[in-house]
Amino acid sequence: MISNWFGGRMDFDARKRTLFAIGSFLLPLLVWCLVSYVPFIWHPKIEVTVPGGVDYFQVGMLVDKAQFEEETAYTREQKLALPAGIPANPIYLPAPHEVAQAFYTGFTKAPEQKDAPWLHESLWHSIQIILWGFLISSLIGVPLGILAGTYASVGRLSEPFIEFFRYLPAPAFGALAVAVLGIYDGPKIAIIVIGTLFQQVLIIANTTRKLEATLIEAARTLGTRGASLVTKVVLPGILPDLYRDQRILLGWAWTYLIVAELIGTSSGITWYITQQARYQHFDTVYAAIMIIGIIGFGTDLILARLGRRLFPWDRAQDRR
Amino acid sequence: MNQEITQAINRDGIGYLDQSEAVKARFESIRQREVILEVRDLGKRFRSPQGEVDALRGINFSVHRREFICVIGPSGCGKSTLARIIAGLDHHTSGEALLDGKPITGPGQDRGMVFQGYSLFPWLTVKKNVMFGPLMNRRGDAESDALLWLELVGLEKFADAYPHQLSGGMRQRVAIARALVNQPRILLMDEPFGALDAQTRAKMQSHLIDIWRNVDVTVLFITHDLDEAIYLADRILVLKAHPGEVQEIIEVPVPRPRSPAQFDSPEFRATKARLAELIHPEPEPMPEDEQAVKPHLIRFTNVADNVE
Repeated sequence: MISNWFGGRMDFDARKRTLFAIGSFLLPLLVWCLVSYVPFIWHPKIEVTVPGGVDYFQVGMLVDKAQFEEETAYTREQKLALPAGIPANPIYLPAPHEVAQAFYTGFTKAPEQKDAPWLHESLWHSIQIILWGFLISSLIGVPLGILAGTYASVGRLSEPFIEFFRYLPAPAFGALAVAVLGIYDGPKIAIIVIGTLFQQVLIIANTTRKLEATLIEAARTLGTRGASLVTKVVLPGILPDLYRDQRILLGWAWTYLIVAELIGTSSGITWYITQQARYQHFDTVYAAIMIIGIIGFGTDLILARLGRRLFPWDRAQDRR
Repeated sequence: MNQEITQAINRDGIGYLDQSEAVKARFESIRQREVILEVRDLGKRFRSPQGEVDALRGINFSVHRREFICVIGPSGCGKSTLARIIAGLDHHTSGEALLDGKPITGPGQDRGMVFQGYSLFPWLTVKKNVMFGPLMNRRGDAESDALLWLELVGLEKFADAYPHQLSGGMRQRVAIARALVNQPRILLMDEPFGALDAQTRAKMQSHLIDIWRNVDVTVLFITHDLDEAIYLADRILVLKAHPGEVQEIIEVPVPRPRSPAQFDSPEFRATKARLAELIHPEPEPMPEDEQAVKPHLIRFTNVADNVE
């Protein structure tokens, strides 16, 4: 019975897999709903509905449970009107429906300040930063990684330094990037490049080294030499894995986004989130954070599907 | 071991050196043909943690046009290294290897190679795999050449399949077609059927002989399977290990055309006995980690409950 649960990965049919995938999203949502909608789970605050005899209470105010009970006891002692309230969660944990609403209004309602960008404008700005950063990083990292993986001399010459450099935290270069590239998009893109590039070279060099040596030898015995070995054998040989690496690296680039956007003048989705947090619109903050997740995850799903189309010979994909 | 050989000779009245008139005439005609490959005093020495090791030492032999040579030897005798040196994938450290009189310095399309592992390009269809060589060398109509050779190995129906959709035997057929489409002077085969099951291997051996009969190609075939070597070869180059040296070059007395029925012929048995004597003269010392394994069997079943 239990052994069924540990069954091999292969015998998970497609329907079951989809169900479990949906379940993996529903489980955390369920926990969130329980905490938000079941009054006796957590709810450390009381939202005041009737101030009663407590002079500083106001309708809609959140007070600690202990404080509320103390004030209730005090008013009872003083024979004043009793305050009333309902259990509530702290302001930083909005309920799912509030976040869903904020999600919707984020796109439909004009921002409160006149010149402030809309949510989608902030998002589009962030996406552009990511894409430029990732593109620049890939233009250097992919060729360098392939060369380092193909030619031992290139690898030996570049990888030790890159190995060292990747331990330097990208955000540490923030101030430097601002000094060199100004305060607008330049330093933000630079941080994403620094955060991605060095990992990229190492990962792709490794992927390249994993290519079956027999394939290269076979190509050489068939008369391939020089640059065509790289373009006609190494590159097509590693392409499906290279594509997978790039998907993972694009995900990493996203994780650098927020830090990058704090550098110089804050911009994009980060600016949006900090603004909303400043006004304690935590429902909107959650919505904006989730949008990042949805975009990142969505892109990866699309790219994964596209990969299956692009590389019909890739057998590693059959196993997912 | 020695006793077994004398028995084999006594029973059949034939030794591996006895050749029938037809076989003698055939070897005479082979010797008349021009030499394709000449290996002179070839050596390969490399550095290992245990010091300098001679993988190959003083290898001498020559191969005539359209001759089928098998190289056989215990593991570690450098038979794969020999093939790789001739292919130009490895470098020798002494002596020389000449193809049509010219020294071998690197890989080239005049030597085709079929590897033991699957070496087909997984991203190319079967047809494009075969077209790879002609396209690389910008020669002729690659596609019609490829289809012709696919037909020869019987895989024209699978031209548009990817290698991963083929069985092991089919993949090696494609690998042979891919090597032959370049029309190499010599086809090097490094244990090409080693990973196949017995039945497929037998089929591939017959198929290889058919191809060789119909195509102007010389074959150097590496194997560790005695039957395979005798069944396929005109001559067998027997190597020994540590260092890799030629022990003997045997002219196989089994007449051609060959068929699996000959496996039990006196010539075949005599040759096999000789090969067995050369390759397993004494039991190989067990590796240390194997020696450490000493099973201690305890009876887990009822004393009366015997299976034998």
